[in-house]
Amino acid sequence: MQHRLDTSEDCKRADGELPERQPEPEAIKAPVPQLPGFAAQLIGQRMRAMYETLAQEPVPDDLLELVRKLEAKERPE
Amino acid sequence: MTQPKSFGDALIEAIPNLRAFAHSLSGDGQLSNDLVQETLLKAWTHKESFVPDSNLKAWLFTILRNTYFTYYRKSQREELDEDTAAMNASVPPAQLTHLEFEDMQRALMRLSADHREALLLITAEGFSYEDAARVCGCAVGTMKSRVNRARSKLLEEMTGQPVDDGHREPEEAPKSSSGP
Repeated sequence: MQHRLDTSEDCKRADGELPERQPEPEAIKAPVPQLPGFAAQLIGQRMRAMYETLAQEPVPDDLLELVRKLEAKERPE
Repeated sequence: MTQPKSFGDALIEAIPNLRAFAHSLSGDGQLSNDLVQETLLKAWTHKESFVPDSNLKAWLFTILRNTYFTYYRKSQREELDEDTAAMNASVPPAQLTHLEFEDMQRALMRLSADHREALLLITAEGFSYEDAARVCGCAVGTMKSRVNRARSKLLEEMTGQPVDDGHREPEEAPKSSSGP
């Protein structure tokens, strides 16, 4: 993927107010289903286990270097 | 003397979670590193627009998911599908057996992208509904209903059994996510 820095769009909206939006159709079309507690728990456990496994992978050096380089560029000599 | 934490330090601290989110959202380990890299670059370039003392992680997640959906819409023409997840299946899992891990990833990838991200943000990452709604640019109520639907769907995917939650899903038109 190319690095594009022109997409300030993607950085918008963070920490702003919630966008004023029409409620989306899915929010109003039906009652929200509720799973029995144990099923929701099971899903939660599995999800977190998967997610933690991914988060524990070692961070590739090039990502760390990228941040360090960006910092170094700004540091006044 | 302890230095105050720099913006760069804060970015580095967030990388593991950004990668986990990117990987489970896209189902693609290779792509997730590119997404994180782009997120870091954008965050750095636009760091003046970050409000100090607000939730940096939520801000970074917003950038990442917007970057992903921009990419996703482009690549839909090229049929990015759930098989990508299987092909790039990752890492020997710590707590789950390999099969359970793959099942989970595969089932996740069969959810719609907005259901998937809702579940990841709330259930896996532990964001509040408010923060998750802000990240996705939707209403809090929408976020809550997405999470509940996503849970039911995921359970169906994992068990092969329809979940009787008293709710019948209407024929769903294939609709892309609510991306930016």
